[in-house]
Amino acid sequence: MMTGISERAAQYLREELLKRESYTVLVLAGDRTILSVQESNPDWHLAGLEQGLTLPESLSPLLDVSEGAPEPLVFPYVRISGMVIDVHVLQGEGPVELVLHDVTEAHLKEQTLQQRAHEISLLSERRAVLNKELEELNRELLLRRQQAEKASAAKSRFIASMSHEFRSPIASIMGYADLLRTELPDSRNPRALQQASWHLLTLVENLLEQAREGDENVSLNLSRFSLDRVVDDIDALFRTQADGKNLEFIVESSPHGVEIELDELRLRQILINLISNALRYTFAGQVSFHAEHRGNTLHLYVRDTGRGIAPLDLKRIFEPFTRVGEDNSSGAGLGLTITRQLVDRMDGKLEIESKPEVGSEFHVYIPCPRIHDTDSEALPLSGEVLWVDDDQYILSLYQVLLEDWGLTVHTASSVAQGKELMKQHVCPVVVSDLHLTDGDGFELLKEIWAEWPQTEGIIISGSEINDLSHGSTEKQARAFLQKPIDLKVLRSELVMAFAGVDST
Amino acid sequence: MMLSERAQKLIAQQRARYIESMPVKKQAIMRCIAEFNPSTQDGKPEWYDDLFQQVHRLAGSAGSFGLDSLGRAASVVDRHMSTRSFESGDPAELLSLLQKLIAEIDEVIRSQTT
Repeated sequence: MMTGISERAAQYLREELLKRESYTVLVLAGDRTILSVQESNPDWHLAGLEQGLTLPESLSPLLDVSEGAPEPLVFPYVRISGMVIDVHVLQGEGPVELVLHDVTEAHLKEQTLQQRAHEISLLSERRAVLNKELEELNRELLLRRQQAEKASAAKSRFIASMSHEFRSPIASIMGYADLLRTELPDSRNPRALQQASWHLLTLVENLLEQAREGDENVSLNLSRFSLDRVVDDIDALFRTQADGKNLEFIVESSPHGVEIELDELRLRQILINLISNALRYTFAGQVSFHAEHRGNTLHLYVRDTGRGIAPLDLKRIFEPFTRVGEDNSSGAGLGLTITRQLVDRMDGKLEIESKPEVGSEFHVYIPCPRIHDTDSEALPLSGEVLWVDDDQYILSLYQVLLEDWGLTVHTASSVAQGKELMKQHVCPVVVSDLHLTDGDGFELLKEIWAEWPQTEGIIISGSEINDLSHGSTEKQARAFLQKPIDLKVLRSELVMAFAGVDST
Repeated sequence: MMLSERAQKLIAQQRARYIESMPVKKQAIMRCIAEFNPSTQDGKPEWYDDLFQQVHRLAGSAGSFGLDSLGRAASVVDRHMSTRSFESGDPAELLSLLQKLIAEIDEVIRSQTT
């Protein structure tokens, strides 16, 4: 009796199992003659196993091995007539019985599973090898990338460093040219020297710009200047070159007398890059430059009757170190790349129209409010101003001027004195020299803003540094004025500063 | 730029005083030049920063009093000194620029006395 279940249930299971299985039961005589054959179903028959026949050679050795064994023995996976059979040998009292149980299907399944397991094992080994190779490749790739980045950074540092080195002697040349202009007022040469220096400075700035590509921290140095002056300089800079190529060179600006606030050096860079390109690729006809201030936008048009640009080339002319067409022209191929970067940085746009063999037009427009739309002399001024400068002569001079314009002026000669006076008078507008004996004007403004954030600040200096942001402070001085200060600009700034204070 | 008669008068007086101060300014710069011996100089001399201050003030103030030529000469020296350190600069070039500046100061003094 089976453990845990009844004899009846056990009998049922045996019968059900027997119905499903394919088997043959042989009863053997002592001389191994088959006394009886009982098969599970009519479809199941093993050839050579017939009543009265002797047990075949394929099964006989199994009886030899199991002779005298007290317990039933099982010989798995015996191949008979193309099938896989488990042979059970039952001995003891009475005749020997052989139960031949068909396990062909189960055996095939097991074989397939084993084959799969083997294949999986091989694949796993292969994968491990590939993973290792991949890891090595990744390591090498990372190393190469680090080396490339290091080389690129070193190259950029070198270019930036060399460009900085070039700046000083160029500034020196410009200074000497300035001196020469005073010594030789009737000669055109000093001015030509100064314009060529601007050109050289632009090329150096182009290199610097390329070296710091992707650096988000580059800020614009805004200053106020006359658009006419820049246009005149551009005319002087390129006219000789245009004459040398027998080209008509037209330079216009409208309206005259406009003062704008932009990064002057970057604007000159844009113009020099565009106009030098136009002159380089134009061999007959004309090159024209027109600057126009309309609304709150500065429009710059550079047109030429040169060989033009093919439509396919238009897509790649802004790629660095690219020069389209076949020619032997000089140039690094950086001009247009830098120009677009600069225009983008100034929140402007650059458009091109070009037809091969007809010519090109480059149109740059940059948001740029005009500074002196109204004559500030006509506007009244009143209020208190704190003026800080360590030069007593400057203090006295501007006190007289500002008082004459209707303002009350408090003067201080140091940062410390400025702070003290501010506490006493809380002036809405502070004008400070940049370099003071006990600090600088930006530091003073920062301290004042910490306590009186509405204060309007104006920085003045004999130097040419004009970065109004001066570090990471959020608030900026509203203007940087270079000495000697243009009185019209100063008055205009004061008018706007007081208007700004009143409107907050 | 229109100014009242009173302001014009005051400014003219200040300009005169400014020009009167030129000999003192010149002396201060000359003193630096006299002490300047590049062959024995080791490191930045004490008077270098004072000289820079003097020149910087001249660069900032001369033009405001209408002395444009003097202002430009001072600006050249100012730019020279502010764009390089004492160690990295060329002493001969600095001396040459200072001599031009002195010549401009002399010119202002001479124009006042004649």
